[in-house]
Amino acid sequence: MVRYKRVTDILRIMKNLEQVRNIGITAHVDHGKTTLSDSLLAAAGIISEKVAGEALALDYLDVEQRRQMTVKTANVSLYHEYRGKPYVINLIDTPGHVDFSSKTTRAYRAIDGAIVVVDAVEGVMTQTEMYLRLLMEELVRPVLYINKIDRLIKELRLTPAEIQQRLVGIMKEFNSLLSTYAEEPYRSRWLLDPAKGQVVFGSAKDRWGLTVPLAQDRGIKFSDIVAAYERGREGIAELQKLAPLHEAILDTVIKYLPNPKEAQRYRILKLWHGDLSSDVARAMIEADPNGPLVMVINDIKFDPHAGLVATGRIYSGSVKPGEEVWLVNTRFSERVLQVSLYMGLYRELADEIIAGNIAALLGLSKARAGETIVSLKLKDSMVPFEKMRILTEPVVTVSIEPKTPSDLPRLIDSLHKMSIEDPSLLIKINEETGEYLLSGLGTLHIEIALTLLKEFYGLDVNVSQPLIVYRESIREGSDVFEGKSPNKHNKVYIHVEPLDQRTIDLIAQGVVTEDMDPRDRAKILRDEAGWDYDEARRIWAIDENIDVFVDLTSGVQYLREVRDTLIQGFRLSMKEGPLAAEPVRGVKVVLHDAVIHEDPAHRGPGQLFPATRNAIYIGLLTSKPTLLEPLIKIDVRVPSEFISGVTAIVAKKRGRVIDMSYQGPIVRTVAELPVAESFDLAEALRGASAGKALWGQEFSRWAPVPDSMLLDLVKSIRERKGLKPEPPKPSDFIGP
Amino acid sequence: MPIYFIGIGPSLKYLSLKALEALSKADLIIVDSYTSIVPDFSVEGLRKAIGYRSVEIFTASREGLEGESINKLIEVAGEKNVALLIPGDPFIATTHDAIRIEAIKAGVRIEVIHGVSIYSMAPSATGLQAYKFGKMVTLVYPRGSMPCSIIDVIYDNYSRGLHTLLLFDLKPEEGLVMRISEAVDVLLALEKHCNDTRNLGGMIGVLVAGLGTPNQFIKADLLEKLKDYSNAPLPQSLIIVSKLHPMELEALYYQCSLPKDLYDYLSNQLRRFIK
Ligand SMILES: Nc1nc2c(ncn2[C@@H]2O[C@H](COP(=O)(O)OP(=O)(O)O)[C@@H](O)[C@H]2O)c(=O)[nH]1
Repeated sequence: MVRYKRVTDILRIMKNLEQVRNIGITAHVDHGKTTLSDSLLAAAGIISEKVAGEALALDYLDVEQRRQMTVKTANVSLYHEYRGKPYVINLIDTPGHVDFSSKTTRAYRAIDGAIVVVDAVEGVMTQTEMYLRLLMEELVRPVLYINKIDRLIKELRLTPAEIQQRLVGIMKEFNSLLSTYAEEPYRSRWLLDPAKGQVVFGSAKDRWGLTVPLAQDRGIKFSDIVAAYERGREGIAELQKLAPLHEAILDTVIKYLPNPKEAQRYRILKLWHGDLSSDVARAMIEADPNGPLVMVINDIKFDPHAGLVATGRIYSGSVKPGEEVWLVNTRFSERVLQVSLYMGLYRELADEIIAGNIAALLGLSKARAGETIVSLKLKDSMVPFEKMRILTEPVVTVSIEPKTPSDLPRLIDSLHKMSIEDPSLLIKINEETGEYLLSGLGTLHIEIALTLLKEFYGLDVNVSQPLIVYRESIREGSDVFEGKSPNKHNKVYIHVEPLDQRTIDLIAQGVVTEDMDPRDRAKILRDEAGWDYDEARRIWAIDENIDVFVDLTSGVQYLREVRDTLIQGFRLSMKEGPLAAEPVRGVKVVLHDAVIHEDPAHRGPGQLFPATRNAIYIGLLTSKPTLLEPLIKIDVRVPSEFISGVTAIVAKKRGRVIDMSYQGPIVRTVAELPVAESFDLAEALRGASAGKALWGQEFSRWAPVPDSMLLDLVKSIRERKGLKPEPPKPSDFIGP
Repeated sequence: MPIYFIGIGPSLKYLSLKALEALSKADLIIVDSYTSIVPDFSVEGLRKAIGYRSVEIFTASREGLEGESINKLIEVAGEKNVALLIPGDPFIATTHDAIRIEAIKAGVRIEVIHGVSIYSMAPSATGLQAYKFGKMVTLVYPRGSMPCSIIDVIYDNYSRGLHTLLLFDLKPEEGLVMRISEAVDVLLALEKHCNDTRNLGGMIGVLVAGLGTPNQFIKADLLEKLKDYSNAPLPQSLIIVSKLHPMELEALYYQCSLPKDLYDYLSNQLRRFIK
């Protein structure tokens, strides 16, 4: 019973936010999330007349195809009439299991309400609890759907009274968890009352569902349901007609889950960390369609026909095709080419979509999931919803190859798409071995990526042991050293020193970049990091690992001509430092003087690369060189009885607790520990908390490894790379 | 023990008596195989030239004679007579300066035996006057950076009435040898890139190819026209001609096959100038 609607009709409904809901479905694995989504789509999906006219529509209900599509669509919109009024319900895709990634929280931020599915036979499970906690943390209001009632009847052969008892038990458990994890005032407001119809029970497989008021209304008792099943197919068909599942679910959703206007009133305060007294805050809190545009992208997908599709939620203002918008994290403006709304599974063009709704945009090639998009007038003032790392610094690397060699092109293609959808995944080819290297922010991050590769792209791959990426750095400044070219005719005079933390941060956040206007850059560095303006003006290069190359020479002949070669020499040297051939990080390299050969044949890269490298390496090796290791920050939430287990794990793993706070029965611990120690972290935390730890992790920072470990570590990295175990000495780069 | 720096000149046939004498004393002969091309060189030919005396002969690439290798070479010279065989005249290209200096510093005796260089052959073979050459420069493959200084050198010389000898880049490790048509293309591309609006293509150049070899080839013409002569023997070099002395013009016409129309045109100009 798919509805054919005109785009204009749906757009009209979307203008009235009371008639819109943005929701998600969550469930412990196998409790029925997919089956429920499918049955809702089959019963209440909307398609435009255009799509209906195409042959594709014939297959619309083909389950296989739909399954494929559900996973691939960022959003599915449903149409439902309740008490004679039409509604649009956006079903936003939430990840299939709590994986602690920013992707998960991002999805929860886009929705205001959720249907929590619980299997009537299995009851509330650990993941149900996890989801509920996440929902409460993000202020997403839940309703409960108890699924698979048919199993109670057919498999467990429960009596009507026993069925009722069981449902009450599940409800009670759910409510007690909710009151544990919710904060006031939501705790008292959101507790479920079955008498009001806030709990649905039914069978997603057989597509019927009821609430207590609905059952009373239609005069259906548990004994009638049991009887229907006893009558077999006919009885069930009757039940489907009498109590269609989508109606029970969607009625409940519309009645109890907040509309965007209501929800933004309290959720903005929680989700956004800008100045709440500003105009833009007011516009978002009120979901003001006439306010400035604010939209958060929660999903980026490739459409083979349309290219990059950015789907997200509009919090304020409206978005129109042809409009130039500002990408807050990327610091870039781009033009929106097309705006579309979701009609069921499909996208249809729209002239305008207003605050509170979900829109899909075409034309934003630089947008990534998590990006905040605003109108140009908020360019300089907007605080993004999420601060994204522009410069991703992957710290764990695996090499992967397809199990079937002929899958290689598909693997490359999939990896490429994944790294666009998740910019912190990095794909590289090892030029020497031809291996594909996948780098991410942690072991867990890589694991998730591999799961995605298998489940979403259907690729089986062989994976190497994860390797940690280190950085080389220094702890004091060096003298000025001479670097000679092999022919001795070219000389460069260079000193190196550690960059200050502020400069490193400015570069890491993308505030200071290599390609920005040198004057603007110099101003920022002077004002924010205390640089001398003239020195900052003379920055030649900033590399991907946060090293800066400065030219302080004057009157060197041919310098302009060899500038690019010297810069390239700088980049190459920093790519593989002298200690362990790991990237150098956080170093300022200053060129003081140079002697350049008269003839271009004798001052090419073959001469100048080694000259530059020699001087830089001597500088680095004489400045207390060390290795930096990546640290992750973990944010662990456990019931308080498990806290000592958590702190013990942190201590054992060379970690440090940064913050600990009590939130009701939950203790929240923020700690920092080396990635090198994190390989079995998930397991350890699970073990120490009876599986009740809810936790997230993110890259924290680079920190020097303990001195006691340095030499052994250098040696083992060098040996792994086939280098001689001892690092070189400064004199090795002085030459004759 | 000494290191002999021996210039081969343009061909094994140019090895001087003095060079042969030094070679006859050498325990080890190292041949520079990368700074220029000596078309008729072969190890076999060299053996023949030294009368098949038993001696170690190595050909060295750049790594073999630069950087760390310099120390090793000097060490060897402590025990053996080493002869370094270098195309042209040993130190004109500056490539081996460091070896000489380091050797002297280490107390190793050195001896230089000169060969004939393109530096003297170019004026000598063309009739362009050595007095009227400006700075010479190597036309390198532009990679990464665009060497605008090459264009600057040409125009600097030109504006002072001086000819420019352009040597062509050579990358033996990549099997690359620049020939005249590519050289002209590189020059024009450079000129364009470096925003020079003057017109190099309309200048007169003299292609000198395989000088000192039996097939040597010399041709004067507009740069654009010289592109047709890429098949001329190696190594090739180019002289970009500035203001000509009447004797030089005669030499270009009679010795370097300058086309008649250009010759007439330039003669007219000269005459007008004299009036
Ligand atoms: N008996 C019965 N099985 C169901 C019902 N709903 C789902 N299932 C089955 O339970 C399994 C898991 O369902 P699925 O929707 O894939 O769960 P998900 O992992 O939460 O998406 C599948 O085999 C479904 O056919 C139901 O109402 N009754």
